[in-house]
Amino acid sequence: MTKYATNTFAMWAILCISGVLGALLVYRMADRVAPWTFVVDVPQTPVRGDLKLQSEVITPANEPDFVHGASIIETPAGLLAFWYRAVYEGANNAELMSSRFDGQHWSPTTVVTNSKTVARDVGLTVKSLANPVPFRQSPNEIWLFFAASRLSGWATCEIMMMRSLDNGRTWGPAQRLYMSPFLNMSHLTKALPVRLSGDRIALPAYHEMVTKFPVMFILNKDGRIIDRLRMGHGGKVGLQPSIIPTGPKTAIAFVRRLKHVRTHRILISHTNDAGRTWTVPKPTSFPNPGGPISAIRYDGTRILFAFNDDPEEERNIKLAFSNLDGTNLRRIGTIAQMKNDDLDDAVAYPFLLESEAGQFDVVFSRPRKVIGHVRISSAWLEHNSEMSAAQK
Amino acid sequence: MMSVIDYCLDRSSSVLLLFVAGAALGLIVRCRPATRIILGLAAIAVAACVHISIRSGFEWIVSAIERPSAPGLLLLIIFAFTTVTGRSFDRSAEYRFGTGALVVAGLILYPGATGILNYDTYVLGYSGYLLPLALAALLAYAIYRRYLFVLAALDIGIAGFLLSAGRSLNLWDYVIDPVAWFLAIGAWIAILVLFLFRKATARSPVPA
Repeated sequence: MTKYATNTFAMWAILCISGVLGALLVYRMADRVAPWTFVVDVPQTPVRGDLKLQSEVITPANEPDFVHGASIIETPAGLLAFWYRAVYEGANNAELMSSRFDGQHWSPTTVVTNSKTVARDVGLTVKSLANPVPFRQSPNEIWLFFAASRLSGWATCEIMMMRSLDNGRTWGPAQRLYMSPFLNMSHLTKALPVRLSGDRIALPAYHEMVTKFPVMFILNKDGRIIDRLRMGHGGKVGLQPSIIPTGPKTAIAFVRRLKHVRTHRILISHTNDAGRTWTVPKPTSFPNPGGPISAIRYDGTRILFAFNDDPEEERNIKLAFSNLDGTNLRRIGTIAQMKNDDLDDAVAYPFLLESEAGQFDVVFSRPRKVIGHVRISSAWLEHNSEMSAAQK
Repeated sequence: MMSVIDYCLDRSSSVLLLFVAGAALGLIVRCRPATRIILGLAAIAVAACVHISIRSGFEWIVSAIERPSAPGLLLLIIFAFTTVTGRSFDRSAEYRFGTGALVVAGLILYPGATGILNYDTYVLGYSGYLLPLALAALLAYAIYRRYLFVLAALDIGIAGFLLSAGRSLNLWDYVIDPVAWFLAIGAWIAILVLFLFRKATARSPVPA
């Protein structure tokens, strides 16, 4: 073939390939993400258990490092707690830790992974790790989401995920979730994912760099992001949404306020189209010092949530009931309190779970060396709720 | 564990950016092309050897800037070629079209996707007709004008997306990246400056 013929052939080949790819692209993108609905799990929550709180410290007494961001999941071998540990918050070489609860005692702590291992898994250097959040994908499979800061500060975080196929005994390598076109930076997680139809899940997260707003990511059954929905507006809105489905297409999200805003109150956002659109988070009557709210569905008509009942400091952790649209909030009682004589103390970052029908567990951190656990019965909740209503 | 291809792709932007920086220095001080190549390679070596905190300067850059999209990789290669040879592409209509398209795409994508605007333009890359039709229009224009480099870059990006070859399942991530956007903005600033400079030079009276 002559040079002219070769060039002409190459040009026509590129033109044809471009035409075919363009057509395939338009065809493939049409309704690529099928509509979803929330899977609404309404627990029965029988009134059971005793009226005393059971509390323990999970971390060893001589814990030398900063510990924070605790979470829990129920496994056949008991509760499994996760948190992160570093020399200080955001320090190099952070570790994700875990411990198991047999109903009476917490096991010695074990390292799930650390910054160096994550860096090796993903092929990029990672500075610090934070906020592990477990999710039960199947009877034996747990997905553990966590934030990993690539450079410095939480604003440079991205969310990663590890899988365990044996209920948390061993873990696979970390994998990156691709969430942002801008260097994949500045998303963190804190609250439990929500199940969706079609084996998909919704992961509540938030954007941190410059603008601060809650986001809901949709993951397919392989753990890859297939959509993202902003909860309310962009700009400076709020952090760490906790999403509770109240119907196949309705849900409520409790949102942590930003530190600098004047309204020191818990924010609430709603959706009526399975999370496609969310209302701008609006303040409730309950205070919020700028700490996360952990919420779960309690029964057919109520949501149970753990929060810091103070507008300025994380002085206590209280439980409260909300109706399904968040218009009627009622305090139940205090489950953890900061020490009066210690100005550096706080009880922060509650994470709430119904581990069995009528049995609830909350883990939290006392910055900077302690992860605490409180077990609460539905009997305690109902008793204190009635007392609270009677006092009103 | 990650593949060798992922490992190399994650480092390709950093390698090319450092090379361009080193070679550009050689271009400014009027070194020969061979010296510029040596300076480009030296910039990579220096970044790999200098440690800041727990990691090398090179690893900091790798962690910061992510892997390139297909058009981004092509633009970085063009910049590397330009800095080594000293050849300017600002009079090439294809170069102006390609970099201009990147500038516009970045302006549409990034302010919305990072929450500065209320409308999240990133979601257009997950499903729907708008972004694919816009890309199809770009492809059609590039076919009409026979812009083969633009076509090749877009084709590779679209093929990567259709095969779900990258970590992302969002079309945007295959056709633009922030480094490419910043480089394209830089390229257009250079195009405008050179245009104004030539215009001013053409108007100035010729000495007798």
